[in-house]
This record gives sequence, structure tokens and C-alpha cells, in this order.
Amino acid sequence: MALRNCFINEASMKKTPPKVTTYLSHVPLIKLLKMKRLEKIDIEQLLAERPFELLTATEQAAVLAEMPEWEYSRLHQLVLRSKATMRQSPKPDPAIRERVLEALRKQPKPTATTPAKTGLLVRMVQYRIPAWQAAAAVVLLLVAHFSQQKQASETLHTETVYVNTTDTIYKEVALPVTDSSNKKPKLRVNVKPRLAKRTMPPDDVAAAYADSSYRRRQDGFTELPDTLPGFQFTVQQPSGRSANEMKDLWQLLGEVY
Amino acid sequence: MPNDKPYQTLSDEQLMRQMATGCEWSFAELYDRYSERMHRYFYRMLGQDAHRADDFTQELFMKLVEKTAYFDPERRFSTWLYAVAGNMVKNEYRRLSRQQVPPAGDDFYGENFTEDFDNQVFAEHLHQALGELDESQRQCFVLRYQEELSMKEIAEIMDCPEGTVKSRMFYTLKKLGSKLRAFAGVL
Repeated sequence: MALRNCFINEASMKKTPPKVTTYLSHVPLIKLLKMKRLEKIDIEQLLAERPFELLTATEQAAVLAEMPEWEYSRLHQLVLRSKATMRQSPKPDPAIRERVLEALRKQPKPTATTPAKTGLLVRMVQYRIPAWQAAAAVVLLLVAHFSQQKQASETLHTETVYVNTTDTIYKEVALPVTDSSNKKPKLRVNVKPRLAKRTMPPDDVAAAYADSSYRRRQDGFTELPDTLPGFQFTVQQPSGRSANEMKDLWQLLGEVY
Repeated sequence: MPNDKPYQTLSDEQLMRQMATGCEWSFAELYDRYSERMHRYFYRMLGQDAHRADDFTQELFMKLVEKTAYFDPERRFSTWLYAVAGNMVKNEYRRLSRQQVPPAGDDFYGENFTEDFDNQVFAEHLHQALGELDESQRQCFVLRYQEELSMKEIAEIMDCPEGTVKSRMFYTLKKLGSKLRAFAGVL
């Protein structure tokens, strides 16, 4: 009956036209500036709770910013009426309760042995861990992978090392021909004496030379000393005749020198 | 004085845990708490067909029996149950959409109602108007004003932000207000 009492037909609503365009005109400017705050008011909540007349001034301002008063009243009544109407609905069939309880009784009850039936692999697959643990494991794997990669690159890193190797270059120096019967190997002069010093001390050279001359005397075979493996020199037997056999030549040479 | 029905003091979530161990009384308690609400929800969402609402209520509780393990104890039981029911309704709508049920005509609201209309007429018109809303709007309206759930709970059931539910609700109200304008005097 209460709802019937507030009945107004559509025609009567048309006689008092709703103030759609002017519903904000009476709101002071200071209130309009506070609209931000009014937006926080839940109009839907108000619709379900109170009629427009029972709203506070702030709530009314918030409502009027959204809709005219007559629309609020209409929606308020709609909500109340719908609530009342929708509460009335038939009850469920009592047989349903028995049927679902029967279904529950038929369900196999979980027992303590049930988990043992599931295979180890299934349990491992189904094992659940928190998401953060999975994420942490992935991060650890990535860190380990990249650090190992870095170490490998460090071990494979090559450096260019310069090693001083000395080549000893000998130059043959022509000597005045003397008695060719006294066959001595030509003297060899190191054109890079400083390098020669560095590679082998002078004493060693002298020893090597002595060694070779000793061996030459022993077996009559001219051979490079073992201590100078890079020294490749073969002494050739002089060809031709001896100067002693050519007296004219000997005399000429004596005049020249 | 000892409590004759100790299950009545337990929360829904506790009852679900008990039910997982095969406790019949826990299930019976949950059924008593929710069967009427779920039946009413199905009734309203499925075109006010009581028999269909019975079928869906039974199917829902059968699911509860068979798939107890699917319930996440971290969630609230009521919202979870409404979400399951909502999915069942969606599937039914999908099935019905293939059969192409003709919508109600607009001229139904063109009539002039006078003081002699009653709740029955309003209920019929409301039912028609709800039927013309889209599925999510209808679900919002029923959950809010029939089941009297909070916006937060509805957002959880519908799996969408609370702000979306609020704006959807407001738009639904305006749409219903417009559709039921013939009842403006009473509304």
C-alpha cells in the first residue's frame, strides 16, 4: 500500500517538467568546486538506501551532478520494488536434498591409503611449490649459466707474447791469400755482435770454437760445434793450385802488398 | 546446554574442508544454507522457470559433491559457488542462443497503467525487462538486488574490477528505469 500511495501517473509527471537543464543552478559555486569530493559518493548505494529527501546536502549535490531529482526518485523506487519482487520465488524441490546427499554417500571416501596409490612420478608432477620459489630457481640457473660462460671466456683469452729470438748473421770477409797449404777456415764476423752476446756468452763461443777445432784435429772432419746448431757452414777444399807453385804470382802479390 | 548442531557454527570454508573428508553433515549444512539462494538465482536468471531452476540447483550441488577438491580454500565459498552457478547459466544461454528464442516485443511497455496494477504485473514486466538486458547486466542486477551481495563480491564472482561492476550497475538501473517508465508513478 505504501508503494501505491506514492503513485504518480506519467501525465502528472509531464505537468511538472523535471529540471533537467537547471538542476545545478541552485548549487553554489563553492559546492561545484567540491565536485571531486562528491564523485566519491556512491550514488548506487544511496539509491538502494534512502529517498532523495532523506539525503544530506552533500549527497543531494552529488546526486544532482549526475541526474535530476525525479530520476533519482524513480530509480530509488525501482530498486525497492525490484528487491521486494525478487525475494518472492519458489522453493527448491525437497527431493533434491535427498538426491545430492545420496550422491555424496556413494562417493568413495578418501582414506589414508589413497595417496599411496598415486605413482611417484604423478606425485612429483603434481607437487606444487610457491611461484616465488620457481622464479628464484630460474634466476639462479640464469646467474649460474652466465657466470660459467664468463669464466670459460676468461680461460680461453689469449695474449700475444713477444719472444726475442736472435738470428746471428755472419758475413764472410775476404782475407789476403796466404799459404793455401795451411788451410784454415775463413773467419766469420758477426754483424750483430750485441745480439750474439745476448744469446750466448763469449766464453761459450770460445769453448764451442775450441771444441770444433779439437774435433777437427781428432777426426780430420770439419764440423760445426754442437753448441751452435744453427750454424750451417761447410768448409770446402780449395781448388786449383797452390800459390807456392806459382812463383810469378807470388812475386806479383808481394809487390802489391 | 550442548550444541545439537555443531556444524551451524562453522564457516562455509570450514564446512568445505570437513566435506572433503567425506563428512555428510557438513554438506547437508552447506546445502541448507545455499540451496534456496541458488535456486532463486537460477530461477531469476533462467526465465523464471521453477523446474529448470530445480534441475540447475541439483546439478550445482552434484558438482559440489564430485568436485570438492576444486575448491580453493583461499577463496570465499559463497563467491566461488555463485561463480560456478554463473558459468552454468552462461552455458545455458549459449545453448539457448543456438535455438534463437524470439525476444519480447517493445510494445509491451507502451500501455498506460493505472492504480489497479499489482505486484504480479510488475513482476512480469520486471522479468521481461531483465530478459532484454544483456547477460552481464542481468547477472549484476540479480546479484545486487536479489542476492544482496556487495559490489566487491559481485566483482569477484564476475571476475572483473569493482569499478566496472559499479558503472555496469548504474547503466543497468538507468536502462531498467527507462524500460519500466510506465510504472513511473509507482516506482
